[in-house]
Amino acid sequence: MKIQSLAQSATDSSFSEIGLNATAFVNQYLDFGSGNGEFVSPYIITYERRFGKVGVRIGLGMDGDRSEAKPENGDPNQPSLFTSNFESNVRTGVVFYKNISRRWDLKYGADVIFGMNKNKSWTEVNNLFGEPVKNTTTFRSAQIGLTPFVFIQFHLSEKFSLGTEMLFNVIGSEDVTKQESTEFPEFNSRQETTRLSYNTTPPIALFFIFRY
Amino acid sequence: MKTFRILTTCALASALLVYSCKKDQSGADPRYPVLPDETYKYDGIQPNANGFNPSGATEINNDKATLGRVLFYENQLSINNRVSCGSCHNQLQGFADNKSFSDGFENKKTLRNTPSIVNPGVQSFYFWDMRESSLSAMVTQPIANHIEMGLEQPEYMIAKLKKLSYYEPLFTNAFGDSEVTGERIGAALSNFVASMVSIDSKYDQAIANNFANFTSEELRGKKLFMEDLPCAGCHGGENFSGWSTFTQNIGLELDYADDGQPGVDWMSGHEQDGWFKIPSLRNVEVTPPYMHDGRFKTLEEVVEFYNSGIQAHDQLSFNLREGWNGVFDSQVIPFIDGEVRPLRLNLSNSDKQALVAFLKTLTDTKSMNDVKFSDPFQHP
Repeated sequence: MKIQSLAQSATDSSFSEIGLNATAFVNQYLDFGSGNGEFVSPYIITYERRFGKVGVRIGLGMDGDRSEAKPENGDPNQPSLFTSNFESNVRTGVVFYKNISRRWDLKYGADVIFGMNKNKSWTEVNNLFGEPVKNTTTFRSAQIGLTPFVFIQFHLSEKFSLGTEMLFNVIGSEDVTKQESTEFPEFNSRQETTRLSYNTTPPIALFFIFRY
Repeated sequence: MKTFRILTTCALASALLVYSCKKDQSGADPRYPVLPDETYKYDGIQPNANGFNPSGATEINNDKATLGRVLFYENQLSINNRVSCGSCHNQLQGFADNKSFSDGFENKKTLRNTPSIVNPGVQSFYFWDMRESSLSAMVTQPIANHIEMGLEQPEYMIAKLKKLSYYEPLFTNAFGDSEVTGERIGAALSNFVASMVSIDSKYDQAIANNFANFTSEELRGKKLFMEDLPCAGCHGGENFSGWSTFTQNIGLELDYADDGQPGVDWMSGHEQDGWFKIPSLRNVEVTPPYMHDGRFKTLEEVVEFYNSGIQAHDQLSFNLREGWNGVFDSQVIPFIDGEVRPLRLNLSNSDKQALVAFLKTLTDTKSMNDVKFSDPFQHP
């Protein structure tokens, strides 16, 4: 191999990197860290552009699922439950670099993060008078925060590397929970809460990184 | 030929009869409760040979308990009509379920394991963190819980019941008129659950004849539980729950994810961490999994935990500390952040089996099989 060091010193010239978070994929087969799902970095893909000693990065994440549970016999008098969940996350921030050894790089910096979640569940059932009734719970959350991070990168080759990161999250959230019923609309409710939370995302996410 | 016609006619008639019977049964609308012509008897609970009466101070009224039974299995008491009290407190499983965490009205998991309902009338406090001291107030809290049943507005709960015509005679029988109130719902439910008693286990039957019906293994387990080991220090009394008057840290973790009962530990001065109610061991055989988070699937795992797995938490129950003899001694029990030495029982395999055998003698399946505690919406 021609190059002496696969990692890059702080004075190296510009390059770009794309990272894919493989944690969810790995979990499917190895059940690795699935119990800590809430701690796994939600960013599926990250892009990083380095300009000498400093770089910028952006990350995007999305997750969603739908489910439905209907009575076995399709009886409209028994409730059917439907759920729909969607989460999206964006982060952008500044990165500083520290070369540790030939194959290891340390990155650190901070991101500003934005997140939007929407979870909805509803049931459909006929009431005692044969009228269709729908009960819906909707939860929406908008998040903004600051996330200092430390990122460790191991270079497999000049272009390919693996990485994981530890995040310190300070996140403000505005949550809205709505309960709605077509049968008892007078009891429909809407609750708004704001909260500030602090937590740590341990380094259990695994990023496959391609440099070009 | 004539014989053939007769046989064919008989066969068709039989088939028609069977079909019509089936149709009658399956045609019953499961949204309506079916109750017996003569009200079931929930009162008159007799004490065991030790004078233990598990109905406690609750004076059970049969009409209120009958209403309570319908309410207990009423799906409309959840915000989306999907779950009832009986969804998690399954009769066939000792009025608990076999899940570490139960499914709420939206299939979201509850935060703690569903406790069994056994002799609630003699318990002083309810829930794993003992936050409620009134049985009639406790029974309506899961209805309002945002994960369990979701009806956070009491007026909403009342409006839903008022719309169900079958409650009118039930409330009238129980309270003299058909008015639906939160207090009445609580009273009816508490009458019903207070009648879920465990009083006729092998242990109860053995009291009168000096445990002559116990096997040698069960006797060995009883001696270990009652005399040799500190089990009865917490699980004492005829309800095997220490009368449920206090919480304890049993050293499941060094740092609990769930703090349990809020408060300040008088010994360390720290916020309480991992303090949970001492549950009754009656019917423990049929109510796995165990602990507040359902971490242990079998009684054998529970016994092994107490044998060798207790963690040295600085708020660990005295009963589970090495050297504790029931007398406060600052040499043995450091009061402020000192060394904590968790008990190591070093039990033999036969001792562990004996303990499990004894715990199984506390099983009373009567209420699990009694039709008066069954779901009136599930028609035979």
